[in-house]
Amino acid sequence: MFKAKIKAETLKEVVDVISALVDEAKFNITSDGVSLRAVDPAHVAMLDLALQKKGFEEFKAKECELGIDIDKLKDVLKLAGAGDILDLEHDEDKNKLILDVGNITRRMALVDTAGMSDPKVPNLNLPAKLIVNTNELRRGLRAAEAVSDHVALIASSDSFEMVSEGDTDSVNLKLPKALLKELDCKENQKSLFSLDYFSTMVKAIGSTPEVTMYIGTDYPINLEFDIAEGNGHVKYLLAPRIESE
Amino acid sequence: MGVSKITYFFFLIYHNEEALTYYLRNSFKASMNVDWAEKYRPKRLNDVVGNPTATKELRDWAETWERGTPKKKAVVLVGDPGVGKTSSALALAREFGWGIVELNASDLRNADAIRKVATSGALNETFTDSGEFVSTRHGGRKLIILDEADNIFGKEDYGGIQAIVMTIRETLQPIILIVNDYYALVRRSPALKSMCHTIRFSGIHKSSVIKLLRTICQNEDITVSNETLNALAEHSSGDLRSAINDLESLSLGKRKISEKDVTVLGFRDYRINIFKALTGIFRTTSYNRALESAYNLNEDPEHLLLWIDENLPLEYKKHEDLASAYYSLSRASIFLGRVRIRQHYKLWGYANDLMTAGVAVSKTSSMRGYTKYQFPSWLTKMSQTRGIRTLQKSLNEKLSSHYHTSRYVAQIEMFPYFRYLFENEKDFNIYAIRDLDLDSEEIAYILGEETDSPTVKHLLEKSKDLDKKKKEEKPQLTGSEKGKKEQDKGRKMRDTEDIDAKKAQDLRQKNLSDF
Repeated sequence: MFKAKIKAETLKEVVDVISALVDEAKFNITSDGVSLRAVDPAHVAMLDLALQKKGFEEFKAKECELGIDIDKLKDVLKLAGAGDILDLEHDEDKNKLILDVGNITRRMALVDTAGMSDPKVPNLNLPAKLIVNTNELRRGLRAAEAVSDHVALIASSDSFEMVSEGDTDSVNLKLPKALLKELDCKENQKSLFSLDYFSTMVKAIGSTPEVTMYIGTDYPINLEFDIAEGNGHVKYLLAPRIESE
Repeated sequence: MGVSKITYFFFLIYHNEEALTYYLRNSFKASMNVDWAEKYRPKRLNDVVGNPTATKELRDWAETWERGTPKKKAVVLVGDPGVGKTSSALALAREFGWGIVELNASDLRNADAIRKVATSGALNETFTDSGEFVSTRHGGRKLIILDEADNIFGKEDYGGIQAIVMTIRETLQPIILIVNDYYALVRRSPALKSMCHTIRFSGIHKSSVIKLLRTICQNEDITVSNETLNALAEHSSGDLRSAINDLESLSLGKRKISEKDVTVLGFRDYRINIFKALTGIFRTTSYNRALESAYNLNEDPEHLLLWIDENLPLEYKKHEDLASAYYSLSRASIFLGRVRIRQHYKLWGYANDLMTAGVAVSKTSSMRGYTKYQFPSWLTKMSQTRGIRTLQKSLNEKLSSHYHTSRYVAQIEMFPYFRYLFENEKDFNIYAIRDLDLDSEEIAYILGEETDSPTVKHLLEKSKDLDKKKKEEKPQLTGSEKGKKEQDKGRKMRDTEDIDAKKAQDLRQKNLSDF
């Protein structure tokens, strides 16, 4: 059983976060809220999302799984205006999700969840932790995209650096410790990532002003941030590029 | 029970293994179960039934990845349906602890989709389905499997093959392409031939099929006689998956299968490639067998005719045989022509009989040994000469509309004289260029010169100069000339031509008297 009301803005945040990686996802619903874990089709990135009951305007549910086509959800959201509230209800008999936006009712067929994986979030023990301003990060990525398709993230004890080297040009963004809200790094850490993944993820952060990053050496990066006014939490994991021998 | 009946029903209708597998898989998913072909998929390469050489080759290739990125970064697994290609690929990944990224025919596989999934997969480290991080630094890999890669074509898969070639070029992770028809793959991209290591899978021996079926029966607690298993194996003709599917569909709701049940299965419809069809036609003297070879072939009769035409002399050595076979073939061709002209597709039947059975029964002695069949040279030549033929066509069109005749007459009767005049008659060429609006390529073709040769350029310029002069003369047209102009205009409207009347008149005056 699942019946809820949610602000269109909140649902949009959730959808943006998911659609950065996958087209279809399995929503695990409990009486406390909604959670979702997924690996992208190329098996390069992973998503762990949780939205508490408080993130909804109204929420009543018992344990169930909903397989949702994210593109369809996007279509429905396009119908919603600012400040609209969506009614969601799971029709168990027909296995459909019924969404009400204003006077429109959309009956959405659900996707079979049997083939969808249920990944566990791996325990990575990443040695460096830092909190970065989202806009600063976005600007750096925009600069990097112009010269290359990958970017190196480097954390040291006194700064965070993003270096992107193309065939002819290079770009680097350096943020000293003073400009970071938090920097906890004893030894230098460096990993290389595909820009298309990393910047899609950063774009999905939305309006959240700060993002927490955990970095290792030739290891995945963990990006964490809050959504839904602090009632939801997102964890992105991105596997590094293979540096050719 | 409802599920089983529907499944069985579908099976009887289609005899189509892919549809059946799909149907079974889906209906069983609903009842939280998997079909047997999936359930008994081998877990390790050693468990793969049949094809020991192929699986060894595959393992050897995988081991080269353990020592870094090898030269051949991709393999193509070639073989008929149900002989264990996909199973081997999956078992390999499991055995080596690799992650798997799979793109099969049900996924969109255009350039974008392949770049997004296969290429990014190929360049980055991996999270597995269960959420583990595997790093190449510790020997972890991600196996990218492109199943049914010979079926990547059409509008929705646009650019897919090129994207695959790019991915293989750049990849730092192992890639496996799986195809039924190797030739269909490399025809689209010959580069793949040299980039990939090819491993062939053959049909699975009857005894191995029986052995596995027996194990399954023991596991599933089904009583079955040796004869029944034998019949099932016989029926599958080397396709293990279909044998398992048959066994499963026969055992639904039963604990015992008899030999009689097997007869229900009817003939399995399996697709064969053109080479097998040709062997079937050339090597048999049985009317029916030759006909059947073409039934299971997914190629239109016109193509098949060309293939037979090309390869007949490689097979039939006796002159009388050859003459008689070609006689049948020519009769088939006549029927195909009638189909084309009258759009009466029933006649395909006659064409088919003549080109397959007719050719097959024409021989008096049987053939032996291996023949390497050739691609129809007519098709190759036609595609090589496409450029020159379009040129000829446009030239003949210009001639025909100018001289009020058919393109055929223009080509056969007029063009030789036209060319002679063009080469020898003073100033004829300049006027012809202007009046027929010939471009540099066409001029070059008529003169047998290069498009950018000085002669061609010179002629083009001269005819342009002619235009300038004409413009200056225009205001001084005499009355009688005007009359003629009008007369021509009338004719022009009648013929709905788009040639400037003035030009037509000029050409007639100055040149046509030469004819």
